[in-house]
Amino acid sequence: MAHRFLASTPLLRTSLSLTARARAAVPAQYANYVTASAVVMAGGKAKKAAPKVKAQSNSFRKKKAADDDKGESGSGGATRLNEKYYKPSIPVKVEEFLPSTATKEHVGQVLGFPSTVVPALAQTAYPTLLNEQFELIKPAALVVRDSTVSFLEKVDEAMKTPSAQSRIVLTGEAGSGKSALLLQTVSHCLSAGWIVIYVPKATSWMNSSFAYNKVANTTSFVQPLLASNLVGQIQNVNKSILDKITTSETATVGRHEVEKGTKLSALLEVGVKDQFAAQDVMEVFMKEIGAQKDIPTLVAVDEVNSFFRPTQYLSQDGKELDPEHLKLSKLFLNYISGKSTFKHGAIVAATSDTLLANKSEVLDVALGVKEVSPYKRLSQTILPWTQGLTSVEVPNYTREEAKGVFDYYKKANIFFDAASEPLFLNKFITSNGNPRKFFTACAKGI
Amino acid sequence: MLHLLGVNLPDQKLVQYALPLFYGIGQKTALKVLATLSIHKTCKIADLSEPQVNQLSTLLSDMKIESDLRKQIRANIMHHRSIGSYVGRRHAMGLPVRGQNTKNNAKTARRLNGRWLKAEKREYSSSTRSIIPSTDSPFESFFNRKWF
Repeated sequence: MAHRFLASTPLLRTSLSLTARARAAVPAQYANYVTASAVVMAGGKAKKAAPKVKAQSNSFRKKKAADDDKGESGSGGATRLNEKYYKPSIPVKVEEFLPSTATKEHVGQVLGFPSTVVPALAQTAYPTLLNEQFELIKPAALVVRDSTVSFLEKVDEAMKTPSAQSRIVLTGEAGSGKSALLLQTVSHCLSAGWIVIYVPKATSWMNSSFAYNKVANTTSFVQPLLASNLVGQIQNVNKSILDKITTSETATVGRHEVEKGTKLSALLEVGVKDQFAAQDVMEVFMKEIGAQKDIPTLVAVDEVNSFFRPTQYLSQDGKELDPEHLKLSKLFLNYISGKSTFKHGAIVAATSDTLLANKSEVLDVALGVKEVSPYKRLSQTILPWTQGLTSVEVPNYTREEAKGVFDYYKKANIFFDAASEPLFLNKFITSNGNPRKFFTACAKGI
Repeated sequence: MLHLLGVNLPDQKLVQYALPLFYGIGQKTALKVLATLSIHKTCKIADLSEPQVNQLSTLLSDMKIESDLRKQIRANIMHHRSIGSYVGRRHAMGLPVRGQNTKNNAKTARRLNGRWLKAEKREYSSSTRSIIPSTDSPFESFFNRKWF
């Protein structure tokens, strides 16, 4: 357009530059028009005017501490929450979840883990998706539900009987509160002063993340480091209780001799220091605590479906190993299936629907949760381990429970909108009372 | 960095994905090696113990990989060439060997097919035979040379 102006105006023969002439030839109404190139040029000039920053290649930069402080968390940053989506919550003062407070009167109240129990729970990680909630609203607390009260009564009775009679598996839809109920059971038993062996992620035992060695002349494999870690966790969780129990006979664990009358905490110490003795230590330990009647034992296993499907470990022929071929898993399977028993104790397990790849069809069929065609071939090596398991279904929130949780979230100030009865109804109905969906609806507004 | 049988294996790499760096080992053989030695799938090169490295080294030296494998492949193709077969001629011309169409689309064959014979020629020409003088008498070498 500029050239037409140039041809017709007397500016053509002036000594002005082309750009100057073009600018001069622009009519008044377009005088304030800013072209894109003008913006870019202005930006470029501003950059030049700014102090020169040391040139850094943009292709790959190691993230320095300064970058982390910006608060932009990627998908891997579990500790830092993006403030665009999560409001910083207010710590809520809650009562403690004790055997005395886990009653029908307290249904709908959110109670926190007791201060005596929290260090024990810190030995092992919380279940992954529950941890998200605990990271957001501190301190970690769970609501007392009808199912909690009835289940804890069941566990209390079971603690007076052999563990082979009470092998319970918590089932239910994804996000219905199975891991949460298991955590409450663990907390309850720790407060009651019982021995608790809590395994929050049984999948990590089977997904080929720990070293394994073949035991000579057998088809079994040992996982030394895993066993040693487990022994350490058990020792830290139950330290004071294990000082009261002593071994009933001498035992050989790895290269060490453990004399009769040694405290169980000292026995576990051997397994912590020497990982190659840890497997033997676990076997002796389980036998000893099972043989005594004074202190009942709770074995709590989350993601128990990984015990009933092939592992990701390979045998020397290249075939996938079953959990019974791994010595540590077999030890636990013996107790879960009732082949071995504690004189006083219970086995409580929870299935996990988090990863589709980890589902165990055999377990679902054995518990009656799923029905398959009678022609479907189920693994005959895994099926025998599922005999005698009782299933307890964990339902979604009732209205009362959901209201209690909503009030707790309100106190923690995680809502963007003002908390009100219509909002509660909205969240409760859209999530159908599913605890995980209810939390996501409240905290993330989806 | 673990140096094993002529190949550098980076320390932070998983063993499962470091083994295919050897010529002649792919993803399936790598898993077979891991299974035979009872190495877990998330094991890194740096996590391997000394006896495990020795076992790995023994196992790999028993397999046909790297230069042994390359020699075998070269020998197979040279055999076709030396007997004057169709397959040999096609390798020499750098054209498809297995009866594919060449009217269009023979790009991969044109790019890749002559390389084993060229390698053989290079090896032959740089072999010690031409460097060391022949043991024939000087007259024989005079008469055996092509003057015109």
